[in-house]
Parts: sequence; structure tokens; C-alpha cells
Amino acid sequence: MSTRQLAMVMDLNKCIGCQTCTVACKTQWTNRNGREYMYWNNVETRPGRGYPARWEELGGGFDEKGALREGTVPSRTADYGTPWDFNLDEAATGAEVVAQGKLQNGPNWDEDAGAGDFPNSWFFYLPRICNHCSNASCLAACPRGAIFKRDQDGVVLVDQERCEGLRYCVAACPYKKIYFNPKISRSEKCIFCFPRVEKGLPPACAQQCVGRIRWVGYLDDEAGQVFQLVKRWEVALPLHPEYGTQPNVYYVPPLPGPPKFDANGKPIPNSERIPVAYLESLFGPGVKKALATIEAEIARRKAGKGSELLDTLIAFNFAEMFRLGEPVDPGLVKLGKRGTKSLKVPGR
Amino acid sequence: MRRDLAAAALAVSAALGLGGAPPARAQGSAGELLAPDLIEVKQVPGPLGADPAAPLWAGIPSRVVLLAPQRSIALHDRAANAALAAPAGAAPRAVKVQAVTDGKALGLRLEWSDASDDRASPDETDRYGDAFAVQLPLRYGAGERLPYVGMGDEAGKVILHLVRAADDGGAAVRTAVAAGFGSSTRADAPAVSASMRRDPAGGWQAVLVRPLALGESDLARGLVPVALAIWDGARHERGGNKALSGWKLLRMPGIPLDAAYAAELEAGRHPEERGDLARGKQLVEGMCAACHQVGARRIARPGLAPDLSSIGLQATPAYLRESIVSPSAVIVPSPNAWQHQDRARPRDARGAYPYAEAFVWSRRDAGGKAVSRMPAFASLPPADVNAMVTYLMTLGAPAPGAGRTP
Repeated sequence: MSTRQLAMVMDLNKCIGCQTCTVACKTQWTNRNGREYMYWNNVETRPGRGYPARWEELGGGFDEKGALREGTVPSRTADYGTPWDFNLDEAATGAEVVAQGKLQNGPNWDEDAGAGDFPNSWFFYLPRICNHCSNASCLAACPRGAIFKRDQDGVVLVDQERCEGLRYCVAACPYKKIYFNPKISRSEKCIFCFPRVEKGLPPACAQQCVGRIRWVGYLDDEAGQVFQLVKRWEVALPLHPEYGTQPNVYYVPPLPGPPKFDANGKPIPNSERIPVAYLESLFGPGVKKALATIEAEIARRKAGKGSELLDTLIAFNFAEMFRLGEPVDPGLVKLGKRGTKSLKVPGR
Repeated sequence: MRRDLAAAALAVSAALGLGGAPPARAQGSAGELLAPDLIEVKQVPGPLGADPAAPLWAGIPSRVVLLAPQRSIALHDRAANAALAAPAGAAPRAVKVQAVTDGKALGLRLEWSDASDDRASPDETDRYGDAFAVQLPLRYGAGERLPYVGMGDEAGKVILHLVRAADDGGAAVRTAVAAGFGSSTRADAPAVSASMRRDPAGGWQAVLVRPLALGESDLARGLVPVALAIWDGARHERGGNKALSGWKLLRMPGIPLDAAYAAELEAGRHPEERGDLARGKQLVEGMCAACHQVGARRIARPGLAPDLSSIGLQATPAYLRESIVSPSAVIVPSPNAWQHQDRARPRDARGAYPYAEAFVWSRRDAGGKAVSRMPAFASLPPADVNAMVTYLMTLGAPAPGAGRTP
């Protein structure tokens, strides 16, 4: 039995919040049949309420002893939000554009709001998919054992024939990345685009990312950039490691940004526009070390020396960013990965 | 096990609508000891319809069955657990049951109070429908132990008829076969029909009609064990969050009792098997509470063993006695093992902690046989076992003096 684990790294310094990943995912998987409200991939503004609203307050995950914690199933109308239309027909003939219906919440409700007052305001984007956790709490919570983790790549999936729509998984996922489909009464979630992965292609969100912020590969593939960023350089960190689920999506934390300004408009040296303590509340105790490593490598580059880490973070080519092994159908891979001549089998 | 269930489900499906009325035989009578759990099935002319408002039901005697929240295993929904922890959350719920047969089918009419009409919604994620279920053993009779009441066990499969208030205003019925929690597997059974109707007084009136013979499930016997469950959607109840009765006995008309089976079912109910309540409480709280949550005595780590807080309404005295003296006789299926990580052990190649063996209620011995983790208390004096069983049978029941079955 293989126990390999596919992982994704996202560099938050490069995310521009364009939602191309969100749209790539939605058009591929969630624009129909009760999934309309679901965002297997979403990009939220931090600080912010996120999607579903205030998901970090809804419980789930494991306690410090390793016992599953209880959680809350979000309400579709109150916590996820109902999409609305605009009066575009009237607007076309001169009326003011007005939203129709009751606006409560949505997948990008507080975009760019962030925190702080001008000129010291700040925010960054946080793209989120299912973390395909090694100790998945959705899997642990299912009384029917309907959720499983694939041997070959660690992708967490719901067996749709065993699922009875009980939603204990939704309550137990601390990231709220498993969704209940009320039309068919089954739970559904990000599948890490496994049909693509099986053909050697990265998930659609990673392939479509215009900022090239996402790397995909196996955590034990030491030559792969995912391994390099997570294990060697230790600049990519899990989101909320304290939830105890061993998530497998890793984030390069944002650098603190330009200095803050004092009352006279003068820059305050060494001030943290993005507070490191806030980043630590998201990405755990490894933040300071990760930021120091990146800053040291930037200094090296500025001094005219090369930086392997920065070369990796620049993300020069897909073949190095996405290492998914031998494809099932090489023809399709060639089609989907233009310019990629050869695919090496990682970690072997 | 899952394959067995699928096979059983298929067998049920394959034999739909077959079988007929059993030959009428001389009537016997169940012993006094079983009387509190008997539900008399009245013979009526057929065919049976699934209308709770049909005039037929006015003349049929009823019996009140008490249901208590399923607490043996904990589930992890905050809202459902908050409802359970509310002052009246763990109180027993009463279901009025009437039963009829036309010799071909069994009709059960259930009536219970429930202030709100709750239904799942195709547009909402946190709405749950009110529902009820009828559970019957696939095999029963002399020599057959009753299945574990919580959806059966590996040695004792059950058939379940689940009826849920549907979002279209009707009721959706489905049939499944199970061999323990989490194992239910749907069976195709179109011959089973049901309906649910709001009682203007604030409750549900429901009828389930199923053929006496349905695949492996044959109800044409003198005494048929049956257990009931209800779900209140307003309390976020679904799946294992439900109220559950113990095994009751349908007394079918026109079919003689199997005296041997009646005698087996009477085990544990004889007056001389009653023990000292105070002594039982002391023993249970002194020994069992180390691993089990027992009523107000909740010192054990949750999940280490079944929570016994509702056990008095759900278990039989014979089952409790057997569980104390010979815990491996009935293997209660474990909840999902991954609910508890073992942080003291090394992580695997993916960084995952292994699950904690201590929270898995049974293990396989060298021969592959399931063995309970509970030590056998076989050397306890019989008077002490009687005392413990007597005390355990009060857990989950209404306050003393109210009586177990009104």
C-alpha cells in the first residue's frame, strides 16, 4: 500500500485575488445540480470573515489530546449567502444599478476591506481549497465510514454510494471545505481534480492561476519544488496547524509589506504593516523563520548573488511546478501542458 | 460485512411481495413477565392502507413505548449536542403504537408529540426532517439472541424501515439492512408503504405497512421483536442522533407462541433476578464508570466505551447481564476509530497520527474472532450482577415512581 501524499503550495505574496482559480474550479465542478453555492476553491480577503462567514468559529478539528471536536453545520442562507441579481435590464435604459433581493453574505463579501486605517490599512488574499488532511476530521466524523483517503496520493473523497447526507463531516471540518448538497442530500468536496491528476495534469485551480502561485507535487518527492518549499526551505506553512488535522496545503506567508506611516506621514522603520502575530495566528509558529529565510534570500539576490529559493518562487515553468508522475494518457497531457516535453516520475 | 449486507439487501429486494398468510393455528398466551413489552397485533380485514386517519385505527388498542436519546456513541454536531444537553433534552419520549395485520401485511400506526413540522429543504444546508423508523431482526425465535438494539451487530442483522417527512409534503420511505451502526445498506422494497400526517394537537401520526414476508424478513410468527426510533429535525437529529426504544414484542394474532422462545425472552425478568438498587448503583459507579459514562457519573474519557446513560430504556436485562459476565458475547460495533488520534505514537509517512486503540471497543483475536476490550466480570457474585442489572435498567427511564411502561 502506497502512502504518498499530494500537496499544494500557494505563495501569498503573489496572489492578486483575481479569482481565476475560483472560476476554473466552479466551471469544472460546481456550477450545477445543487453545487451552485459551493466554492471548492475560494479566495478570501484576510483579515475578513471568509467563506462560509466566520468559518474559523464553527468548530471541528481535533483538541490537544487528539479527540475530535464538535462543530456547526453552516446555514446556506445565513453563512454561505444567496447569490443575487442586478436590475441590468432597467440599467441598460438608464436606471441606476441596484442589487435585487436581500443581500446577506456571499463568497467574497468583504473583498479588499481588510484592517487598519489609511494610510496604514492592510490586507492580503488567502486562496483556500480542501487541505486533503492526513488526519482528516471529516473522515473521522463520518458515522458511516463513507469518507476515505486514497492510498496512492492521499486525496480525500466521499463515497457517494455510502454517504447518507448526515453532515457530521461538515460540522467536523474546521476549514468548512466539505459541503452539503441539499438537492441530492449528499456531502461533496474538492476532489483535488483527481481525474486530471490521474492523467498527469495539476488541479484546474493550479493550472489556471495567472499569478503562478501554486505548486503541486508529492511531499516525498525530494527533487520536487513542493518538497523544496515545504521541507527544505521551510517557507511554506500549513493553515491553522493547531486544528490537528495535518493539512496538506501549504502557504508562503506574505512579507510584512511597506512600513507604516506616523502622524506626520513619515515611514516608521521596522513597523509591521501586516502584523506577524496575525500571520502566526493563521500559519503557526514557523512564520518568523519562514519570513526571515525569504528576506535573507531577497538580500542575497539584491547583493548580486543567486537565490535558488527565489528562482523557485518565481515559478519559471509548469514542468517543475507540477510533478504528478506518469500520466495515464500521455496524449492528453501533451495537450494540456503545452511546452512540456517530458514528465519525470517524481520520487522514484 | 458490507458485502453480506448488500447480499441481504438484495435478498430482501428479490423476494418482494412473495409469501402469503400463514395457516391459522391455536392461540397461546405470552407469560406475565413479557406483558410490559407486548404490543398486541389485531386481525383486521385487508388490504391495509397507510392512512393514519383511517377509521380502522379508532378501534385498535394502543401501547405507549418510551424512547430515549441514543447516547451509546457520541456524534459531533454542536447544535444536536446542545439540544441533548438542554434540561429536557435527555427525557424519554413517548410513542403511542397500534398494530394490525390482515394476514398478509403488518400495519403499524405511531403517534408522538413534536411541536414543529420539520423537513429537509432543497435550498438549505442545516435543515433536518422529522422521521421515524421501525427495526426488526432478520432472524429471531428460539435459539436466536436479540440483535444489538442499536442497528444490530455482526451476528444479528436487522431490517430497518425508515420514513422521513419529505420536502414535497409527503413521506419518503426506505428500507435497509444493517449489522451495526453506520452499516445500513439500502434495499429495494417498493412493497413497503408509509405516510406521516401532522396531528393538529402538535405531533405526528404515521403509518407503516409492510408485507409479513419480505425477503429474509418473515413476521408470521407468534412473537416478533420490534424497536422504534424517532428523529426531531428541530433538534438537528439525523443518523445516530435520535430517540430509540428497546426491543418490544409484537404478538401476532392467530399464531401460537413458541414457548421456548417466550421462555428465552423472559430471562432476566424473573422476580428472583431483581437485585438491590442501592448496591447496584454503588457497584456500577465504582467499576463501570471508569470507562463508561453512567448517568450523572461522567468521569470516564468520552468515547472510551459506550455511554450507558440511556441504557435502561434500550437494553434488556438479559443483554446487560450477558454484557457484564461475558462482554464478547455481543460485540457492539465501534464508532469511527479516527475520532481519537494517539498522539503518543509516531506519525506515519503522511504525518498522520495513528488512531488510539483504546477507543476501539473490540479487537480481533488470533483466530480473527472479534473480542470486546471490556474485561469479563464473570467472577462477580450473582447477587451483585443482579444488583447492577437492576440499577442499569433505571438509567434513562423516567423518574422513579413514574413506571417504565405506562
